[in-house]
Amino acid sequence: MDEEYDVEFIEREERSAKFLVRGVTPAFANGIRRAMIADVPTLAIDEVRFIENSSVMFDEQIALRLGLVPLSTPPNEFDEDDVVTLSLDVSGPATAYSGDIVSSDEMVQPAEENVPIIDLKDGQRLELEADAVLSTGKDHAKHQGGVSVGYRHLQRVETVGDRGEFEDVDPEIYRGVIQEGDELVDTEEFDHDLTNRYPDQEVAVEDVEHAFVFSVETDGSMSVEELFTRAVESLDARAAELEDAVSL
Amino acid sequence: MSYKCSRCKRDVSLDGYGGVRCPYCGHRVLLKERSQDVKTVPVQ
Repeated sequence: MDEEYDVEFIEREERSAKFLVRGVTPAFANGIRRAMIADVPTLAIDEVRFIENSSVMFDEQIALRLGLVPLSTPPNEFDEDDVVTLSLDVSGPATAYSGDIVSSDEMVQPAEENVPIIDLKDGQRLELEADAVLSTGKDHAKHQGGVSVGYRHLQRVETVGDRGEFEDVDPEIYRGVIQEGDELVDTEEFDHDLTNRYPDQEVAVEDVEHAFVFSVETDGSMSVEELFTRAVESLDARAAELEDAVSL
Repeated sequence: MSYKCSRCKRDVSLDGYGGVRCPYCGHRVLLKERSQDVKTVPVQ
């Protein structure tokens, strides 16, 4: 493939982004998607020590909820064997939120402060310690940094003529991004229906080869840029490993 | 094993002779107290 590799952001926020990647094959695009889901390590609670739990829920249920609280994971600061201790101590009447979790490491904090853990009534108390470890989504879904990762082909839209005056108009739904000449247009602008953008015209839609629009959302443990970069690094490391293995 | 009477809320310890009954109020519903040990739970 001769086309040059290129990335262009269409939407860019801390936790979600939509961007166009040109010059990659479908297999490579899918490799990046899978790496973002399963190969980027994040921190998550893996063991909980209950000191007191007089709430209405079993220890195991609360532990499961704690495991799903996303924790910020600074890049290249932790190894696979590192453990970060967190603690929680809430007395009722109150609701224990993820923001009540106290971390032993300033770099590791709950990514979201308002995840409810348990509603405590008068006289109930929850006190616990938890260990967070680094692992990948391949190991357990709680370690999945990319929670919503997908891609679509970029689609080129061209007008091919006028629509007949008394012709029935069916909606032409396309989701993602279309290319009009050199311009990129998010389909949200016309409610994903091409007949809204081209009311009286016939259009031809075709996939643009080797151009994919990624929609990525993270759980808050890291930014989209970081997730994408680390996913590509993991692909690169595996390719190097394969190269070493076959060159022996 | 320590229990708590669900009616009078007093601590009750059972022996082999009195059966399941609160010695203070005679109520037959006793609640088992949670152990003071720290319980470790893996998150899976």
